Amino acid sequence: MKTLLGIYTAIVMFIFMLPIFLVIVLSFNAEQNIALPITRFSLYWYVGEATHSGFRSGILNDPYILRVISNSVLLGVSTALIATPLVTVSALSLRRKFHGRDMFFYLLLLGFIIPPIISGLGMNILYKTIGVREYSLWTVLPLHVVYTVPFGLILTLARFDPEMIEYENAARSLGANEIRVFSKITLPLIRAEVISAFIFAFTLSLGELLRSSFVIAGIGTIPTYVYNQMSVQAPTPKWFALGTLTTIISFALLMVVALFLTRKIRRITY
Amino acid sequence: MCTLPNKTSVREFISRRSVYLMILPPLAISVLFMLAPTVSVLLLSFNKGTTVTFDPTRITLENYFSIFTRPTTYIVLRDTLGMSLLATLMTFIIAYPVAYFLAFKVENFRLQNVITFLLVIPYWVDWSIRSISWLSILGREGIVNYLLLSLGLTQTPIAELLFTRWTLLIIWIQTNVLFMLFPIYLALSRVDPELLDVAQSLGATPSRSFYHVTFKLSLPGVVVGSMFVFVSTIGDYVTPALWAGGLQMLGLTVQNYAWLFQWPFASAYGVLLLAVTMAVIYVLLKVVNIKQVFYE
Repeated sequence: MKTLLGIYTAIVMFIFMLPIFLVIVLSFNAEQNIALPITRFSLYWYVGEATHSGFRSGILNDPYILRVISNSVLLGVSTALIATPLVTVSALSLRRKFHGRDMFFYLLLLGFIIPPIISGLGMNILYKTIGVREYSLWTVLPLHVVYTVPFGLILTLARFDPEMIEYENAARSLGANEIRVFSKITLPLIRAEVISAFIFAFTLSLGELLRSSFVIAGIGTIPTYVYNQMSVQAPTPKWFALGTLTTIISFALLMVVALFLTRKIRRITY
Repeated sequence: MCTLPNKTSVREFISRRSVYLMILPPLAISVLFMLAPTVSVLLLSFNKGTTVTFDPTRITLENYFSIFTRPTTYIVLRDTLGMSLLATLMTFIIAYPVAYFLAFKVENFRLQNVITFLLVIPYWVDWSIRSISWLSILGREGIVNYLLLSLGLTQTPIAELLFTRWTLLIIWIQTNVLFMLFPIYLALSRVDPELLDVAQSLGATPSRSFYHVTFKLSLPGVVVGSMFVFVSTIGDYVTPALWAGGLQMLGLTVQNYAWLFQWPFASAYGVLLLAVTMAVIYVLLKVVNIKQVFYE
């Protein structure tokens, strides 16, 4: 039974990872097409072609694409930075009994129950109603925050240690004030959840298209950019190079965040 | 010593009040950026024409009349619901054993974390780029056709692998499987293994103890995962447009009218989409009380 399940898991994970694997491998294809087998490997789609005036047409020397990437990362980090404290506060307050607790919970959950197209369309109508005429990268931010908070919340609540309250009460009865209790007991206990809420918020924001496309203008993010390009251009390994690059950037960034948060929280604790 | 109860009650009073301060920021953000946009859609659906701001003096039900008298509405509704529910069900069937394996059969906690981390990585490749990669799998020169040809199962490459409703289904499952897997895994990892021992020692067969203990305790995770997959597929207007080969979906209809600046009409279709979604979510929440698991 165990080996059977193990084989099944391996197959599912293989199929699940196959597209990403292809994206990475085919981004090194020297040809125009995005099919296997690859006859010649090259970094053409990354660094481009050497011409008299330097390298051209790779994603790394395309200022527009670099702006798109930095926009996406900036938006993802901002979303995560705003969403993570909101998640923490909501999750901690939901442990207490108060009037309207269920309402509060379901209201937060709406961010993940309301279909994306309704949020996008509604935000567009709302902006127009209150007189926001010019859209930019930042008009998307509120939508990303309300979209990512419920995920972090569910993640955090599901992993709360039920005995946490007892530790907190023990600290309180020993005379610790609320701030001390939070920084010495609560925060260290929920460290892993806070980090995963951050990672989730960043990841979700990075891939968000359905809401964003209604209220974004300018250079845009990776999803809105690729979505717009897809209708004008046949797919080339260039997109795959872009995908590989964002994976590397995300990975590096989240490693730094995880390390930083771990350190920071540890410093508060000890 | 007799002052102690008094002191705690004062503290309790303060902390009870402080809850409202704590929930204020998330509450405000949800009301402003989640509730208000939804209400905007609802209100605008009672206007007509190409206006984008609600005009309370010109309320009409015309949009709804025209939606419900069109026969295509019902076809689109049937297709949308059918495809979303099918995607949800299939994602559940695929994800559950994996979540079960991760929670119960991988004893090494570190390995569990590594696997979950591996599962998150594909989401860093942009969604639209990931979906293009299906061309390399299911396309005319894709892996599947390559395998079929080399095995001699077909003489010419099959073009019908792409741009059908099955393509849409495959892509939806691939995109959403993590969001089904994760909540189920979380729910399963909270199941106390001792309960299973108790069930077994009371004479339950493995399949009975699985169904009555493990599965029932994991239901909240299943419901949360299903909610996510259902919502993200029913509101999707990009994947169907790209891959479903002309299959009309409700989200696509909303977007088409929005592109024509028919904001009120798009809103009316949006309200229909919202109503259908809410109805399904309501049923799901009736089956399992998810809040109970999260904070009670």
